[in-house]
Amino acid sequence: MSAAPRTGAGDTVDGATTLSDRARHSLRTFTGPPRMRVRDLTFRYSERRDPALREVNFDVAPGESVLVLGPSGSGKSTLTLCLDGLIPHVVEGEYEGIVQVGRLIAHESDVPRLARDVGLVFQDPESQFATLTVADEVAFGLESLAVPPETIEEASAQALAAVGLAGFDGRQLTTLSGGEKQRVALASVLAMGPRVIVLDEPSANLDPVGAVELFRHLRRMARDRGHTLIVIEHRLDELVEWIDSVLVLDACGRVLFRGDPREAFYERSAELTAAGVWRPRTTELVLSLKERGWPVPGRPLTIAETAAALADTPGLLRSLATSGVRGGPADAPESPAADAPTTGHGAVAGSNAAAPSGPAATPQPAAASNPAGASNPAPGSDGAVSPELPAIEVRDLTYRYDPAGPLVLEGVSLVIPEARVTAIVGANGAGKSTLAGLISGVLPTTPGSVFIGGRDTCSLEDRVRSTTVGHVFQNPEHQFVTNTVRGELVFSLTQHSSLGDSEVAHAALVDSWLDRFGLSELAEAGPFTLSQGQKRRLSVAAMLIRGQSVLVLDEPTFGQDRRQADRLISTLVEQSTLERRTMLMVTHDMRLVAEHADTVVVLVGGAVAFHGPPGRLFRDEALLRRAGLTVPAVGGLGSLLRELHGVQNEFVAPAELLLAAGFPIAGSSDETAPALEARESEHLHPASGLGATGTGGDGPRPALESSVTSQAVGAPRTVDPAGAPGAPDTVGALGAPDRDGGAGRTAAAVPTLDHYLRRRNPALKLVVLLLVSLMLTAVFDPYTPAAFLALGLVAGRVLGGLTPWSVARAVAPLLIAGVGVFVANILFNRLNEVSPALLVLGPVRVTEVALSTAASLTFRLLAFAVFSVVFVRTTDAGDLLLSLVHQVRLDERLVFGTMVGYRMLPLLTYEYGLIKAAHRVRGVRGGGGPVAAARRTWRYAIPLLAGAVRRAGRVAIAMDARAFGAGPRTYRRRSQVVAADWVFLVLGVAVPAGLILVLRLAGVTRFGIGV
Amino acid sequence: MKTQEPAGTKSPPATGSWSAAWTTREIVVAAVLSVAVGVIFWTWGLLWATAFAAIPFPASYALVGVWMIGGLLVPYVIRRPGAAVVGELVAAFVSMVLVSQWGAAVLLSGLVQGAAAEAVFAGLRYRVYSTATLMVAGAFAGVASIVLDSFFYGYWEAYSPASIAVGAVLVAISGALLGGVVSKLAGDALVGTGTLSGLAISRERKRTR
Repeated sequence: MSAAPRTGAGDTVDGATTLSDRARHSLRTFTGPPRMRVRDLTFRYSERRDPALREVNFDVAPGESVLVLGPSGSGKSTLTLCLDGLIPHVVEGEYEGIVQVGRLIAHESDVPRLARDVGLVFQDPESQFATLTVADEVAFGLESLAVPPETIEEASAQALAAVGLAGFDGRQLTTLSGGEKQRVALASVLAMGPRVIVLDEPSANLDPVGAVELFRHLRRMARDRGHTLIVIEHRLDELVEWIDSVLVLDACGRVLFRGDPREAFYERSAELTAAGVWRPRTTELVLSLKERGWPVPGRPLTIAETAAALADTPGLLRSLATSGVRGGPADAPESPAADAPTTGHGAVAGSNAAAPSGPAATPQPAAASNPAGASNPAPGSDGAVSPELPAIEVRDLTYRYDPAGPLVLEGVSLVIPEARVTAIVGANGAGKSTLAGLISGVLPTTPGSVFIGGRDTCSLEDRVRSTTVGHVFQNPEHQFVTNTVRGELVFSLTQHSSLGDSEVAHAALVDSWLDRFGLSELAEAGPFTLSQGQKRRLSVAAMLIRGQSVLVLDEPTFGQDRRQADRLISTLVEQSTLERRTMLMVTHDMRLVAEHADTVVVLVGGAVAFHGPPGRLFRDEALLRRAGLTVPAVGGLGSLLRELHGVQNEFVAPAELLLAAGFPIAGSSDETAPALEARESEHLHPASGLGATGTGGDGPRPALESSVTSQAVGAPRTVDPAGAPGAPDTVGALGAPDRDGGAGRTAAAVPTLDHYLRRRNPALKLVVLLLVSLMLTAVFDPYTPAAFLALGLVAGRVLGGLTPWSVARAVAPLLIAGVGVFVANILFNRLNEVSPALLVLGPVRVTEVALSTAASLTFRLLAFAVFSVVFVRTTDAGDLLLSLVHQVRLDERLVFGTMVGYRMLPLLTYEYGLIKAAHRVRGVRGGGGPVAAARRTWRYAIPLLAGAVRRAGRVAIAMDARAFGAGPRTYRRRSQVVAADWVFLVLGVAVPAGLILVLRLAGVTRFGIGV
Repeated sequence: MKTQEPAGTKSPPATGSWSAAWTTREIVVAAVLSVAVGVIFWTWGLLWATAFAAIPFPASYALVGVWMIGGLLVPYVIRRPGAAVVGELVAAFVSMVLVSQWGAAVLLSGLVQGAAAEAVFAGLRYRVYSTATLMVAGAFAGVASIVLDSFFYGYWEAYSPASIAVGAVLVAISGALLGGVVSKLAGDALVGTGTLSGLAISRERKRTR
């Protein structure tokens, strides 16, 4: 093991670490990271048959940085839970063996004690936050450990500084970018002072720039040796630079390898590949060059090392620079041309664009080499945007979710060629998913903006459109509409009129697709019970089987292990070339883009900033920076070679390097040679990207008043497939009714908290609200509730700074309820018989008592609503939580837990819209009548709840990992009741009561319906 | 965390508070379910004000059962003392925040309905969660709601005792069906998705199989 830590203690010169060291000392004295030992660890979840981990043994030296690799289901995440004692203390199962952290034995210690030594950072920051603001989140663990408030402030500030977020204390979590969120998650763990940090795919939900931000801080921590880092990650190219060692688990949860990364990625490369494990692109490239006979020296890992090694390889660069050579060296055993895999037109087009002067050096794939004789036109030599039939045409498309909201797309015009793989990339919030959704019809378009196969999508019926365009959502569960795997495929076929009705034909077709996606054995299983990888494959199969000519895929490789991703991508590429289907991928995965996309569309701030071959994109560094993108390893290698070794610019494009190494890149779908498959399919990298819930910078915002305003859940207008812009949200806490749904919503909309009502104690405010509402229920004349209505509006204006107009707008939809009240009273009030009729309409007598009762109840419901709106909009959710704990003395665990549920409210609304759209894309037809509506709602509700419950489980684990509920908490700040609050309570009760008294004395107020 | 569900949860650390019996996961899952039910409450309120507005008094109470779901689904899934009150109250709070025609009064309805359902589960010592239990709890909660409403909306004056009695019968049936049976079906459907593994509801199902 090369993991010799350079220093044992963590006290280094780095400012941030030194700062957090002080924080730690204030918690307890500690000298450095503990040594970790895992001995014969076996764990089986209580409801599973097979163990997740089997006899795992390894050590981690103090300050070592360990990369953990393994295919899906290899128990990586389970291992992280074992390391900090959540297994076996919180999660149940059969546990054997010993996990030792320093002197602590995990199963003999307890979670709060272990949480001080080992911190856990999870994949999706959205699913680990327990509070609403940065300051509260960072303090969360410290409060759980009952650290005194003064210490909390200090430790929090230091933890934030350590992740480069000093001064972010006051920010709402929802205003942060994905990268910032993940760093807050890291800070909230660091604040508790653990010297071992375990990170479970921390970059998986981040866009490229967010991931780079995070890795920069991790690298510094790794170099400081102040912390032991144990990282599960797929983005290896950035990591290899600073990891000390590798731990590889196999599919059964056994240790496959433990030791030096160079040994892992060179000597043991074949085993790792067989296990379906991701490897750094650099090492794959070098190994492949070596196989082809190039004597690349050493075992380079990092991009810099690899560039140097390639430069030192005799003849390699020269041959690249002169001819774009694609095989081995001259004396290589095989002839490059013979061996060169059939390349797809796209790749060649890409390299042509990169090397316009040397098209002759690039072999053109013969049409005949294309299996199945698909009539691919000769590749254009003018770049990837070839003059073929456009599959999709977008004309000057401008889009906003909300008429008053910001533009999400601005003047987008695109021609996307047929039978190509096109990638849409950009930072979170750039409009990628919106564009994809508009193309697939998930979002409504305006006439004349989107054409598919020459037809305006606006003119297509839903049913026709769903047989022309498919859309694979990022969260596969959203699209499941039946109870079995087979049922999903059959459903797709039966929606497709052109396939005929032969059941037999269907069955055979379904079987072949099940087989192709490795789902045959699961044919009768419930879709929800599959693993993530299986779910994703099923959702893609269910789309592909219908044979749409255009397929939109949102982060197709998200959450997949190497082998799953390979399989999926090779099928997609094959479908594109053989079946001439147009693939449009929204992705953050630059490796996927570099190696499989024929064309890339880069969006920056809703506008097209680039449209062309990936090779050209990755050489335009200014553009990449502007677009918030990064260069995949191979591209970085290209530029490094150019810079350091004077290799001629144009010739060392990523495509050239890959070709030189024998990688069949983009579009080469012929899998005639099985031997090729293993290698060919090594290109995928699980996409980073938005989480299922769109957590990027644009995720739904937690706020008490989340989906407020009149936005009906049944009709969420924001249906953005990947949750980029458009997620329903409000700003701040209970506050502003803002819901602009775009990248535009900013901190500017956070209400100023200086109004009288905003400063009042939330619990007392709630008491006043309840008492006022109770008073309202006692009066039955129309005038008193009308007076209350006015009182509420005035109080909102004068004391809360809420314009009566904004309150009225929130309440207005309820007027329709008033209509119902009038109808009911005119028709059914028993007292009508004894009340004089004011108006007789045929058999209907409109009586005085009916009108007066109806008016009373209508004013009452409006007044009810006005008071509650005033309360909601002047109350901060975090303050309410504290007040319920401190003044009302509600159970703190319950209140905190409820707050977490509350954070998910906007998410629920938003996901409901997604599921609806996803079902529509599947061709689920709407039916008339309440029964059909109820059935549809049920179909949406179950996946919605299932997703929410799963997320709840994750947040709970993340809270447990920070010692939640270990004992009485301390609080960073306490909810106070000051004299002014008591005055408010008295006035809040006295004024409405006085109003009633006065009106009663004036003979206006009635306490019964009366006649 | 992506493939692995926190299966099975042990008893949480004792803290002395009454929620000590709940694990963190149970608390958060209960909260999320309650919030989702709150959205249903609110939606049903809109329908009540529009599509159902023309349905006359006692008959309209045949639709009220939906508002009992919070106090039924949550305890059916979580099976801890207090789950019915928490579920119904949190759901009511959410519907208030979403702007409901009942304003803060809905909190009282939530409390009363939740307590009524809770009484049934408590009476069975939190051990029996059969369809019948849920139906009885739903019926109880439904009757509690019409009693409360009679005070709030003057039914005792506006309507005859007979029609209020009819309303009570209807709301009991509604609470049993739209509340109890629907909660049972929803809970079971959720178990089918595998996301509730480790919670009381799936443990019981495993035993009975």
